[in-house]
Amino acid sequence: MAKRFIRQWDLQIMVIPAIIMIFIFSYIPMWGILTAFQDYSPAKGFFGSEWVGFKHFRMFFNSPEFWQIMRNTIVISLLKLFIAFPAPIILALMLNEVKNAVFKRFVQTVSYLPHFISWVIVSGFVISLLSVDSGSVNILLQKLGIIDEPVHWLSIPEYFWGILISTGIWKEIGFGAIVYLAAITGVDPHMYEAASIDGAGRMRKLVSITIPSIAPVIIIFLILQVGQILNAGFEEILLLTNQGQNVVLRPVAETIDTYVYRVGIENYRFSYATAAGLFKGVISVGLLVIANWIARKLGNSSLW
Amino acid sequence: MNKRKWSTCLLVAVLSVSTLLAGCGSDKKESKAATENGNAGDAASKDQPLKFTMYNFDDGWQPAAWGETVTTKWVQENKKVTVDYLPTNGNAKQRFNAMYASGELPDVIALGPGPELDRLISEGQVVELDPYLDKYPNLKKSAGDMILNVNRSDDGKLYMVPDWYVGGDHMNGNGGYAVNRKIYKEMGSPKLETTTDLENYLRAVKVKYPNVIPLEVGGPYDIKMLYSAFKENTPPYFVSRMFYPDGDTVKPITEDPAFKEFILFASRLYRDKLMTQDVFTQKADQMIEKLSQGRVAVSLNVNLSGRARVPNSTLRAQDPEGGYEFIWPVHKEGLDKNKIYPNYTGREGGGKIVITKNAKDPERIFAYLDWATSDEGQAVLFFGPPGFLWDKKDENGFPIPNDKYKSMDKAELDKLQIADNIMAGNATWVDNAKVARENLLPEEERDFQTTAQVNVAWKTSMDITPFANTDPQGDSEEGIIQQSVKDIFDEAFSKMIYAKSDEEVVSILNKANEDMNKAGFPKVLEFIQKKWQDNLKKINGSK
Repeated sequence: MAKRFIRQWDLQIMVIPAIIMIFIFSYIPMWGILTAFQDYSPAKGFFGSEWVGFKHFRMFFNSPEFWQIMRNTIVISLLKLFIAFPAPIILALMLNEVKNAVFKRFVQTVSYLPHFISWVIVSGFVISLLSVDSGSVNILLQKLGIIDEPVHWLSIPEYFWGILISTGIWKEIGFGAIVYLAAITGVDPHMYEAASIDGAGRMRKLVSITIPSIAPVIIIFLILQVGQILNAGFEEILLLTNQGQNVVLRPVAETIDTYVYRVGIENYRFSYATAAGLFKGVISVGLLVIANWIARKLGNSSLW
Repeated sequence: MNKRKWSTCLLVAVLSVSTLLAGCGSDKKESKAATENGNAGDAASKDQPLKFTMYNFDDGWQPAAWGETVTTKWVQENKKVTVDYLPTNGNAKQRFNAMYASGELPDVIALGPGPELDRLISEGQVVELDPYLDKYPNLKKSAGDMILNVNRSDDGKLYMVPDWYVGGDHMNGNGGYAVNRKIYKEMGSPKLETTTDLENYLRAVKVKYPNVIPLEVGGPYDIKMLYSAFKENTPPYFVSRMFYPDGDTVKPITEDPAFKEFILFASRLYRDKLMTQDVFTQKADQMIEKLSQGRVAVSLNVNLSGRARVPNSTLRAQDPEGGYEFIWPVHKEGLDKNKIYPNYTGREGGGKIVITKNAKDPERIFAYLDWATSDEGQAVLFFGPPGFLWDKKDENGFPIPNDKYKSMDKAELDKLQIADNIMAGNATWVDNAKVARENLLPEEERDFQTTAQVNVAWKTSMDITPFANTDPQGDSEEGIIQQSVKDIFDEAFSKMIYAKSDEEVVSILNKANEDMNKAGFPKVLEFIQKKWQDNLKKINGSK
């Protein structure tokens, strides 16, 4: 083990920048979570602030918004898991079947470009596309005769999750597909040849060769996704609700992150916000461990 | 060792160093800058240039960098003062929090009306200013005792220089109703005095001009301005704060009959598509765009005199009959139109400039602020340095614009950003000086904003100084209650605007009132009540 490590020293040192980064940005600030158990005040500092135990956790669990926030966080995450997660896989499988290389490249480029547009701009697009006064979506639907008068898309809570998830898919699908396309490229072509000889059609090859071959990659990403389950998305929700100004969406749009931001940061309840954030972190780690355990039990690959 | 391994090592080293720099670098730089300032201050020589950092609690305020305008260059040369603005990064509260939590407050902070000041005081972060007040007498002279007293903290001390305080009898305001002159004329210039007149006009416009927005409101707050039409002496401030005074006590706004009338009216306008449908999602730019295209029949906005200024000149350039004109605020039948107040003024000033304990030489900073708020300072900071666009002052001490100003193109003038860096503003002085300047011009050349202010906005602004600083701190018991009450109210407010029928509005209103009560609103009201009465004593005591 040690010998092997020394032999690979030049490869091993490449990890150093990453370790430094994680140490500085993730480990050093970590002691800050202790403020969740204090009545933290910046003026008194960490050592001067009073310790209050689980006071802020109790307040969070007992707050009237708690269940609504939990529901939104979980529902939005599950929607992402079941809809936004498979979307790039499907796109990659579809692209793999495209034989015209130029067209394939074109679709790939067009679909991954939105990844590089920031959420601020994307949300601006979405809000103006969906607006009542000369919004393109309303104009289109009216011209097609589907609706009689403009619909105020962003004032109807029922539509919000759909808008949020589809915007997210539009933005990230192409970029997410890259890794799966790469995995598909790695599949041994002999298997396809053998299958052809056995008389397998396109669908058969897809189901019996391509998907099983990239399954380990899918599972790793799935586990990572489960760890993110309580990260329902912060920026996009905040921006699509016009910085929370569109209050009518709050019952469906308020997640742990936006709540922490709104109540904690905007009202200087540092400890309370930290407690809510820590609660989220603990749950996420738990889910990650469970997902990993299940994946290992099923005999496939796992993170550790 | 081969070349490849060396380049790997080099890459690793570069990456590691850059990560370290990103993580730890900024701290060192700032503290170094601070010590440099400190040395300058310790020398205590008035001829040494003074440089201090300043953070403005306002995302909308983006002044020109210091030293890049004629005005600030003059200040640098003659007053030896440089202000280093720290940007808000688009979210003033968040950046402030980050600086505060990490103990890196700037030397000077211009705070908004929120509870931040009390917090900074209670945690001993800001410098007490009383010791300087007599040594540098301009602030006392310009603001007067009443304004300073209202701004005094509970312990009786003064910790801040008010910004845009409004002394004397003057009132401030930028908002109101304006009509599109072209459409109004084509509609036969009907009477627009009562809420019924307004509603009928909007309905008629909708029929005749299907592509025009009958009533353009910029955002949710502007809807609240309609509340002022339904009762005398009730500015929209009360809706924002969710209470209204009834005699000597404050009560929840949801129990105010006038509020009910207002919300039914507003909801009806929205439901019948007479009001901007995107009011909760649009930004200021979208409103200005619609105004510029002339696609608005009537507009109502808290800063309409500012927002409609450029659209007005654009439209008038195309058609002298076009553009916008302020009208007197509408009122419910039977009310006195002179007691309708869509604007409000807190004499104490909208902003609070504090000097933090991080400042190395607070006295010199105060001396500068004191100069800035003096008539002389305001003249320079608002009209530019003497000899540039003005040479002499009139008998009231207001600068008289010279020929250069008169012949200068207005767009050219805007580019100079002469008044960008004004601070410790004396609203009464600046407003009167502006009026004096405008009165020298022929009527058609007068500035839209000033005309709107003089004729309407200032006259329809109510004095709410007694409610100064009645906002509880965010993490106090009252503050936490207020937060959840505000959540309930805000949600109910938008639901009431979106409601499909009057019955729905009433049921949401009743439910909100109940929920707010259950959340503990009376406790917040008690707090406001007490602060209000204290303020009244302070104000009456200084008369």
